[in-house]
Amino acid sequence: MSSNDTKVLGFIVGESYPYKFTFVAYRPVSVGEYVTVEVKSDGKKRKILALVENSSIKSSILASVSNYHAASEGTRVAEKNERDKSYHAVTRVLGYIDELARGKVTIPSIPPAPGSSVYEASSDDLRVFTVDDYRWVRIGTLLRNSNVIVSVNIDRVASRHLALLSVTGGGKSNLLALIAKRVAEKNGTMLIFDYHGEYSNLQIKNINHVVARVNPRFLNDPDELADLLEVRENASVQRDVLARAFTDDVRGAEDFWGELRARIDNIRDAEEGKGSKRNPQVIRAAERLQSIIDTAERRLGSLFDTSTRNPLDMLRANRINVLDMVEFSERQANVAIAYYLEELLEDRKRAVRIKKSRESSDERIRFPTPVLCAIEEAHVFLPNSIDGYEDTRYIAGKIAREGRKFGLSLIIVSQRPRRLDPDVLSQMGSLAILRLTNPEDQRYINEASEIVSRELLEYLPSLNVGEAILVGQWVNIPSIVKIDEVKEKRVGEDISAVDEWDEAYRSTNVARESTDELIEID
Amino acid sequence: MLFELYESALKRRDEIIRMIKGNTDKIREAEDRWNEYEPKYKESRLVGVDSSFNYKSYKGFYLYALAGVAVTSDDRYYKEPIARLDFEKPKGNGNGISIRNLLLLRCMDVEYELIKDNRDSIGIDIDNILIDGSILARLYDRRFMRDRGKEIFLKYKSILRDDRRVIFVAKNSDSNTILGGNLADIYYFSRASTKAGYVYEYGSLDGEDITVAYVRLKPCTPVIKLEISGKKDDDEMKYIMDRLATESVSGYPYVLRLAHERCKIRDEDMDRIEDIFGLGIEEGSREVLEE
Repeated sequence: MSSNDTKVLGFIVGESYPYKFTFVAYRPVSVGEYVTVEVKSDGKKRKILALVENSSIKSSILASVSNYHAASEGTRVAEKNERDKSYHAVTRVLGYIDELARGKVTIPSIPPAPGSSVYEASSDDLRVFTVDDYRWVRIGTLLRNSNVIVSVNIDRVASRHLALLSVTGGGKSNLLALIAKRVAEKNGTMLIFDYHGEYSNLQIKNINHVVARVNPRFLNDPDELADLLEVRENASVQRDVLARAFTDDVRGAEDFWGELRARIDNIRDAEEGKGSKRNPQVIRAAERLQSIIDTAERRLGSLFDTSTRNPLDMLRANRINVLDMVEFSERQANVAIAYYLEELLEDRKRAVRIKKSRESSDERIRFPTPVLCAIEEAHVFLPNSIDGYEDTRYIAGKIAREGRKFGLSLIIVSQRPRRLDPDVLSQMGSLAILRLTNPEDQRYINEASEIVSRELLEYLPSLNVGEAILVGQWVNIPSIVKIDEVKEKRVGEDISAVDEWDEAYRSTNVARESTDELIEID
Repeated sequence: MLFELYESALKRRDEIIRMIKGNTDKIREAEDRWNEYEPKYKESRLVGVDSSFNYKSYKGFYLYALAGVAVTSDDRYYKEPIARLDFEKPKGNGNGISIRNLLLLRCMDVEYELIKDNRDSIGIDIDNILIDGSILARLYDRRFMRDRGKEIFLKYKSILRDDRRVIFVAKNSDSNTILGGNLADIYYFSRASTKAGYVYEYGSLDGEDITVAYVRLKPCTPVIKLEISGKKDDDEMKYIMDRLATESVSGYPYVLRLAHERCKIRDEDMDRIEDIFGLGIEEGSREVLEE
């Protein structure tokens, strides 16, 4: 190779298309590398940028061996033959570089010609990843070029939704914390439904930690109350009695629980009064409900707050609101998330309506500006099966479809994408996919979302912790990125049982020794 | 038709199996003759020479292509590769032989061009030049012995006389001159042992001495046939095996595998050549069969 063409990485071979081509290189090429090719457009030479989505190395001699001995001999002779190995790379065309730099994606109408030289993208070429605009924020650096900063468009997240998908421990919560940090820097409003307490120690600008509370008075559906009280799903008679007792009078009563109990007693007494026509199941259900309410009041007292006017009162606009839901069971969390989302949607609808009418209004608006809502464990609350929880899925589906009109968007976070509601997933305009090993997850994402190619999905198991593929509307260009670490977030790491046992044992022994000393003194 | 074939196969099954597998005496004789020898590692510089041809038949003529290469084990061309392309009339080609045999002759001519002298080679010292195929099988075929065939015969005779580095390597053989069995010698030597080793005899090509050997370069690999110029003794045979085995994969010289890969002309290549000539619309010779 002469010194003049040291940057020529390879040549396009086979069939090329406007959106993809294959090239043969002089060295192995990494998935995630960016390359450029010159093409002619309207008589002018223009550069296109392409992402390497698949890479392979083939040894012609070792391709045909079938046993250990032949492989050993083949390896030795292949070492002498520099032509024995061929390095192929499949790329996706991202668009003309000059247009990408202006945030516009234009795919050439004519494919690059086979035989065209392929070059490694220079630092100048890669500046397209670093958008200098106040709507864009830094998210990390290019995985294959740590000098290149990658930025994402927060406006697009706030209007077109985002999904963060990864196996457990792949770096989802760090990425969500980073997005929260960047939103806080823009004085934005965000609500994180923190089901596992992952963000309880997050200390960033504008943070507002809140323990989730539900005021049962504001529940629309008696089934939601039954779920919160953990009445079994198939206990239909108990649910029916509760629905009859959960009247508007109860909702408005000063002593909510006392009034609810009284109503249930009334139903029980009325049934007793029917003499031989009474239904013993109703009587037993009423008695069981009393016992459930007693237990719930004792055990779940902290979750219920009958004095709160509205659940949104605890949340703050222009803050990162972390809603601690650690004490909620899945069923309770499902009701609570739905409850908050519904209230938020109504609030945002009012805000938009008033803003549009340009007239003053007495209606109270809690969130006058757009809100981002992050749902952890989204596969639990937005399941693809009709047997799963319905409340959150229903309202989240509605927000996914209509939220952008009202400035309310979702960030769904999941480690099991295949269990996510496909309708909701397909509405996610942007994706951050970290390490994913299950082929079913990859296939499911490919089917539900058109913005990720099969070649990129095949690369997902190779990603390390904190590495992600960013695609969709929040990036100009599909990017394979090393996500910045959020130092302000220390949780999300597993508890060290050994350390904690050791510490407890030491402190117990210290206590015993000091007690022994006292006894000796006595 | 298929039924009649199956019926015939069932009737003749025992007879055919007996003919193929029944001759245990010859296998024992082959065992006795087999000289076990495990080759030692010996650095060598080899060149592999191979050629191939392909053709397309049209009504009234053929379009053919042939190519020959000489490559080293680091996949460099020892000499510039030779490629020829032409058309040929089915009759009156002057040789009175089939297109297939005519192209075989031309391939031999191309291979001769690649090995005849080394003035225009890449200038490296070569221990052996390996040529794919048996020279005896090619030259003793009487169909080749007319006009041009005689010319080639003399050319190869001169090669065998002047260049002692040349070895012809055949993957298979029809010869039974050593054991004289029903089947070719290579069948019995292949079954005589699984160990590396060799058997050889001396032959002659119009007065030029040749050593004809059956060798297995590595244990449990196929036996191959070598035709080497001059009379070689055991030590020389072992020395040759050392050099070949060091540069072989699965008992076959790597340079010949490379040469085969470089020179083969596939049907797809012929289709492309046909496109260049715009012959795609010409009526083919088998179109009546819709093939």
